[in-house]
Amino acid sequence: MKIMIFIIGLVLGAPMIQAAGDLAIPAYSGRPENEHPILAPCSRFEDRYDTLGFSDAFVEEWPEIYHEQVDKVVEEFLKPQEFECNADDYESFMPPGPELESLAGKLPTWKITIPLKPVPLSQYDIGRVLLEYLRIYECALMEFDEFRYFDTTQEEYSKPGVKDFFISDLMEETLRRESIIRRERIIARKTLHRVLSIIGTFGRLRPLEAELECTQRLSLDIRNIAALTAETSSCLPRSWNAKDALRDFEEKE
Amino acid sequence: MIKLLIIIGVLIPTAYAEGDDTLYKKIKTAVELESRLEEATLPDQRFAIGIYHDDEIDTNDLNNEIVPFEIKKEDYVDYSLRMQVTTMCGDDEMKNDLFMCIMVQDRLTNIVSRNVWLRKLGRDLQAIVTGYEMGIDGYPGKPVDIIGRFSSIMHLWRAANDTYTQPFVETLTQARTLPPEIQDELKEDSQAIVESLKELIRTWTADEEDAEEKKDKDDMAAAIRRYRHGVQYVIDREGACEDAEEYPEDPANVWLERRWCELEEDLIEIRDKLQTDDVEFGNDEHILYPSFVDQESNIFIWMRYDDVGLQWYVQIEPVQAALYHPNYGDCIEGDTPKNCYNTYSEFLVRGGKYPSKLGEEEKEDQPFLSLDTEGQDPNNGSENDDEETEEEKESNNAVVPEPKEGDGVCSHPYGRNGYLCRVIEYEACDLTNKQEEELQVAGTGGIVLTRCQPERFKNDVARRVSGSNICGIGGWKETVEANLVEDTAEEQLDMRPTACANCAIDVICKDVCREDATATTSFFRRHDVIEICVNKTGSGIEQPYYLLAHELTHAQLMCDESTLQTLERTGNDVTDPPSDKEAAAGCCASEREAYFVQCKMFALDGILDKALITIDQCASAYANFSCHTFDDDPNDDDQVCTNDGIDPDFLLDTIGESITKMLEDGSLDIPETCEDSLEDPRIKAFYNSYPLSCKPGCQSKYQNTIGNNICFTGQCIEETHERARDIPGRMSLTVVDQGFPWDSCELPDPDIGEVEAPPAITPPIFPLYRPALMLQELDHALCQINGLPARTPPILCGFDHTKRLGLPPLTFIQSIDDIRLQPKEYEATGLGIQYAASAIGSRVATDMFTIYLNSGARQFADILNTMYHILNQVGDIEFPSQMCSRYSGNAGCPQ
Repeated sequence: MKIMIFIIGLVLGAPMIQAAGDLAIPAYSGRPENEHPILAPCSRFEDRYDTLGFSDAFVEEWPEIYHEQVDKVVEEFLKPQEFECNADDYESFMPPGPELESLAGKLPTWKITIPLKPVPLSQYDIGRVLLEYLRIYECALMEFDEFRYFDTTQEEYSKPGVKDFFISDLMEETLRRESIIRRERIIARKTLHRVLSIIGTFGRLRPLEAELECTQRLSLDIRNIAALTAETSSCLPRSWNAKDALRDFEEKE
Repeated sequence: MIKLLIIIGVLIPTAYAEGDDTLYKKIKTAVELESRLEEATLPDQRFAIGIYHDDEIDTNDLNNEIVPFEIKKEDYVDYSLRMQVTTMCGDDEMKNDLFMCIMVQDRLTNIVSRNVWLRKLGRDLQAIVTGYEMGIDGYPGKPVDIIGRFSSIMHLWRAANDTYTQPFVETLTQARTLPPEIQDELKEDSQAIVESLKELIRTWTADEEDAEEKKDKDDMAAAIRRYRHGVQYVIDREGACEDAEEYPEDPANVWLERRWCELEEDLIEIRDKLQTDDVEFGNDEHILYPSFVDQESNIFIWMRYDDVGLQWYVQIEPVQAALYHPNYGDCIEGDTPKNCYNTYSEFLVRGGKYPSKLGEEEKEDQPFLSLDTEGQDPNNGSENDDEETEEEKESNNAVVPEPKEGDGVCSHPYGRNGYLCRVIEYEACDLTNKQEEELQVAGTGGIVLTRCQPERFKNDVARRVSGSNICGIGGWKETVEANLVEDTAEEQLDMRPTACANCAIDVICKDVCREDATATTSFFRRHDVIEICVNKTGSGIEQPYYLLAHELTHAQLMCDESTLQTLERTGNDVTDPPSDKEAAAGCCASEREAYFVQCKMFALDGILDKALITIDQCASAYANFSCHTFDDDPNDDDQVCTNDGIDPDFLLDTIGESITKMLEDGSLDIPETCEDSLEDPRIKAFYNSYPLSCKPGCQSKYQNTIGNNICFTGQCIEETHERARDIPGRMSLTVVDQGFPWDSCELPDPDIGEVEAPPAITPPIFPLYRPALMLQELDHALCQINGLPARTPPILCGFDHTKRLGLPPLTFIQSIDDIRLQPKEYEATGLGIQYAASAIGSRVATDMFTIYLNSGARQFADILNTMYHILNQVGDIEFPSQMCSRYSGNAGCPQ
């Protein structure tokens, strides 16, 4: 039965894939479609992506997983930060927040699985991490789309209590999933691009802001030093005058 | 199947209807709205049902008579997008055929898709601008606030004498907390404004069950933009709201020019409450209060003592192009689209003009930019058409002018200090020969936002006095009554300086001081009193107020000098006459410094702005005028102090005329007699710089800033050199006496700082910033990419459709392949120019950065190095355990 459904799925799915391809793929940096970056293998069932949740959750849950995760990382990035002004480098000067670090830790680029030097991570890397996460998300969506009849069947049979599953149900459920995938493939990248454009100002200016805050703190210290120096220097004429011959009396024995 | 699709289409909008309270969710919602293929946004929907009636499509009624197909419900737009033919055209009272219905749907879909594209473009552009500008826009309390921090650092470092020594007009800022007694009230008022803004959002819900509410935020976004520079700003420039039209005549400008009177009243109420705060005003300071931020609504209310305004917290929502007048929108909510169209057809915006780049008066005069929808010849819009050639028109309208000082972004306290909002000149702005050539090229046209313009300072002989009093004039110190001697307008023969000053100033106001001078300062003193004479009254540039400031500056320079030193400094020493060049240098340095202060006061009072003269030009012209007796050839074009080619008489006449006009129209409020001038706070502040700062037993008072502390320390060192015997074996500098070589019994001089060469004090050079030139380079690059020479217009260098086909075809297959690859070449060219644009941009930016930092960074590093060495050496000093004893017996020094 499953094989039968799968074959029907392939036959029916082909024109829909074409329709989604025409419509759903957003313009990518002005490049034609065949010049898109070649995606590295990113099946959601590979070990390297097993902590991202796409292999365990139903496809209808993916948008919430993805958008909530990105939202958390962006919100964390926007929060006012405490800076370590005596840090040695920018990685420790602007360390990543827990959300960014946690997400990066789930992505192969930053996940340390072998004892190699890890890829450095700071707040600067928010764009790279989110774009990589998006790539994997899109990859999972495309993978599901390719096998959506089969995967839909798998999902439906994995639900508790589902034993009978008719072709009409499959059609309905597959279309429902297709619409989710289609929508996500339209909005996820556009949204992230626009968000990254806007928070780009944070990326560019935050190091400057951090430096300025440290300079501000330094200026307060320097002001205190300058004030103490001024206080001390008010004694200068008096102390120099103390050396004058007129004040240099002979010591009495 | 189709029903299923419809259900899905209806479900999509509701899938993520939860609150969008974060930046990411807000943007996601906007993208979802833009991407919905089954549903139009409310403004697009209402615009489409109106515009459709411009050219209606015919159908048949039940009697087979031809009648126009009418849009009966707003929902027709969404029906069209979803291709719901039966729902839309299945009217029992009409004989609608399928083909006609598809034509209507196609038209509606087209109108919507074009406007969706436009609005999406607007949001993308806003995102790009926000990505670059937010954080440097100067609104306090934004998520990234570079300018606020920078201003705070400047305040910590500045010396209070900067006001009179910097060649630009600057308004200081002061940050205050909200007055505690009305703090809660102000927050409630602000929240009420946010709520009233949200009420400007129009809503509409379709008839279907579970249909999501559609929102039109155009009105709210426009209101927030309208008051971005403040409500008082709008009132000052356009009059009170009750006297103004609520809507402009041109519906295309409705979101740019509409007034919201109730909102203005609410904002003014907050401003009035802030003005109950007990504030001590300094020199025209801007008082900033904490901004009110409603992050959930993304609305931001900024507050100053003098104004209150609106902004987005994060600018993600632009003011979209107006599609229709609000009255049309009101009508749609209560009547049929057809009726509303018949009534308000003129209120639908079918096109528009780009906002004028040069101002309201010139907006008709944009032949190359405007889209004239009324069929007028755009070239006939100006009264001066006969006088302008087409080329001149193009040139005049193609250049974006600098913002006017005090307008728009330049009205904000931080923005007005930016280079776009004021002329920044620095006398030590030296150019290389190559840069001079570039400047000449740039001067022939195009946009130059920054440049170094040192012509006025070529071959100048002297710019300012060095030596006397490190922080000079300007009153970095605050008033200490005990240090002052009361000065009246009469001659005070019994006046004597206090114990805390080397001189006292006796200003004498006379009818006529001298035949050839309206104000004088005496070189020779009367019991340590410096006499200043100023004419009681005067007109134009001879206003006693400014002359007094000038003479008081001279007196400040002289106060701590001996008469002999003053004569030497000013080139008037008759006992040891200086060379002609030295005499000219002495006069120029002395006079220019005093005139600089005078000109700064002109600038602060707005006189130079009216006369279109900079502070440096003014000071140079005055110095040339005052020292002209030292000019070796008064008949040639060269001036004695600076060689700028500007006629001093012309400049001074212009300034004089400006003063007279401003006094007549009341825009200049200054004391007009010598006696009244003595009571002016600015003039009184000059007297604070006469007392000694560091004399034992005398009090000094100043604001605790790094600059002021350094002024005090420097002044103490200076006064020590002048008054105390700090060099063993030598008396102080101001005491001419023999040395005492026998009393030195100290360790060898550690020579601290002896080998340290301080860097030359030259400021960073402002790099040339010429966007027009960059575009030219881009045009050239476009031609180069296509292997063509430069062409005009550059678009001629675009894709050559015969390029590939023109190749000699060796085989038939190759010809087919050439045709196939034609578009590919076009794409490659497009990508090439994209990459070239960013490459050119980054190269130019790097060049500018290098030029700017080349001198500045090196000098800063030199100073830090010097500081490091000196402090290190200070740490190594071994201090003696006792004073150097003069009578130490025969044992010599104790060590």
